Parts: sequence; structure tokens; C-alpha cells
Amino acid sequence: MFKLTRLLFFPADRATAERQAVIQTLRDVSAQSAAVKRFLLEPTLPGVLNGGDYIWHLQFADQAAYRACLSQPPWRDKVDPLFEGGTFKKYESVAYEGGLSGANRKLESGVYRTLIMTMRPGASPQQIAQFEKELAGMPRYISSIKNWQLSHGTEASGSRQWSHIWEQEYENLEGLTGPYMDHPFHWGLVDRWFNPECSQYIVDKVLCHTYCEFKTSVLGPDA
Amino acid sequence: MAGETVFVIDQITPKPGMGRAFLDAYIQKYAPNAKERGMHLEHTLVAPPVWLDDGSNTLFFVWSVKGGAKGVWGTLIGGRRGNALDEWWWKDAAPMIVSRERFFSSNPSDIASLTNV
Repeated sequence: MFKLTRLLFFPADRATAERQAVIQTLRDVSAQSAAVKRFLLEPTLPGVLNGGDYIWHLQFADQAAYRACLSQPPWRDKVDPLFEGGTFKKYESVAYEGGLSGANRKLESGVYRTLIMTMRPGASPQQIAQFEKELAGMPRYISSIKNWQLSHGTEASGSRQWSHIWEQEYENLEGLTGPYMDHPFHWGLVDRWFNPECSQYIVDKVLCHTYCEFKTSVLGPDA
Repeated sequence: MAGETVFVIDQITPKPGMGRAFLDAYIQKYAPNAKERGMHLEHTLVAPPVWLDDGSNTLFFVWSVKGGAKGVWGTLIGGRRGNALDEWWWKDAAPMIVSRERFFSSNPSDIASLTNV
């Protein structure tokens, strides 16, 4: 599965009706594009960090299908102008092949969270490999993570050239704000890669921590 | 839950002959801010217990943080955001250090409650 995630930031003074019109356009194109196997377009929840107002996440069969979709008239005529014409204050974008994953629970609804990041200059391949190993080890210890995927960015734009995408699904927000955040595997091990006070610090401080409710799972067994 | 003490242990090997200088820098530049954030310095240890001028000492700083996970996030992690001390670790202290490691630890008897989240 090839994926595209865009975090959409509207100008603060953008009227609600205008926002809704933009979102409806993106929703229509997503729903009507045969190449889009699954998509999610939802407002973010309070507490995100550089997470945008909306998460727009699309899945394609493969990278060829993704590129074909972007070349089709609906995308060129309706989507591209929105991202070229100042509709958004800014947006963060990353396209990627789905990586290592665990799909354990079919969820009818829940909370989708993605952490989009990049490595600091000088991070060694060995450090990055160990970071990825520990990050992907979280679901083994933190049971509130029902479905997950760790991927590498293929193309990116925005604040950084995003290199890593860490997605999870939870039954509810508490699964993220409670067990995920509070488990010692997180703050006692994984967070060292994010913590400038630790020698392991390799993850750039500028990252996107964002989440939203979903009505259709994008990481579960059927996704 | 939340009553556990987490021990944060810095194990630092300064460059040969710089053990005492690094200790002074750590205590003067790092420790005050850490204490302001709620960390309590329990022990400062030097191995071997003689200042080496042609070799490296190893320094151990044992901090305690009250309140389990919430305490760690509040004092160490949430409290560090935008912290100028990040610069101290990576620009000022780094040239004095051969290696360093930070451990987050607890009493074994607290593991069950710390992981029951």
C-alpha cells in the first residue's frame, strides 16, 4: 500500500463555510478517485503539535497508482489549485510506502494518530535502525495500540523533508493520552531518541504529532 | 499509581583530566534548572574516587523524580521543551565528554504499578 498524508492548516481568519467547501472538495475527489483505496479526512483533536486543522490521508495500491491519480483531471483541476493558491496557511505532506506494521484489531471507530518526523543531521544508520526497532517495539508493551505502521517517507514537503511516519490506531483518545504516553517503555526508552538531554537524541525537534477520530479504520486488518 | 519514584541516572565519562571541570559545569549549569523542574539530586558519585589527570573518571548523577510517569513528563520531558539547556548538552558539554548515557529506572517493586497504565 502506498500512502499520502497531508496536514492542512487553514488561516485563522478563514470562514467556516470556506473551510467546509475546501474539505468537501477534497472529500469528493478522494471518494471519486478509483485509485484511492481508502481515505481519511477528519478534523484534528485538541492537543496536536504542528498537527494542522485536518488530517487528509489517502491509500493507493502502489506508488504507480498514486502517481497516476495525481495526474488525473480531478486532482489537477480541483486539488492542486488548493495547494498552490494560498488556500492554506501551510501544509505538511509526505508520501510513503507502507512499512513494518501490525494490524491486530478491527475497529469500527477510534482515534488515528500519526507522528511525522525526520532525523537530525549526523544520525548514523545504526542509530536510526535501533530507534526504529524500539519504536516498532512499543505495541508489544503498550496494549492500547491496536494497529500500527512505521514507514519511510518517499517524498515530502512542508517544514521538513519528512523521513519517518509512525501511525497508530486506538479504540479511543484515552489509549493515546493515557497508556501510550505514560508507559515506561515510552518515557524510559523510546523518548530518549527525542530528548536532547539524552545521548540517543536523533529526532529533529520539528515534528508533527497529530490525531483525529476515525469512522473507518485505515490500519486495521481489513485496511 | 503515580506515587512511584523514578530515578534518572546520568553516567558520564569526561575526557581525560576533565573530570573535576565537568563536575563543576554540570552542577553549575545543568543542575539548577533540573532542580527547578522538580528533579532532586540524590547522589553524585565519582569513579574511581581520585581525580585522574591522565585518564577518564566516570561520573554518576542520580536524580529522583516523584509521581511516576506524570512526574517524568512534567519535570523532564514536558518541562524541557524549548529549554536552553539543550544547547548546553550539545554545544558546551559535548566537547568535554567521551561518552554519556542516561538511564530511567525504578525500584523493581514499582515496575508493576508503573506499567499498569
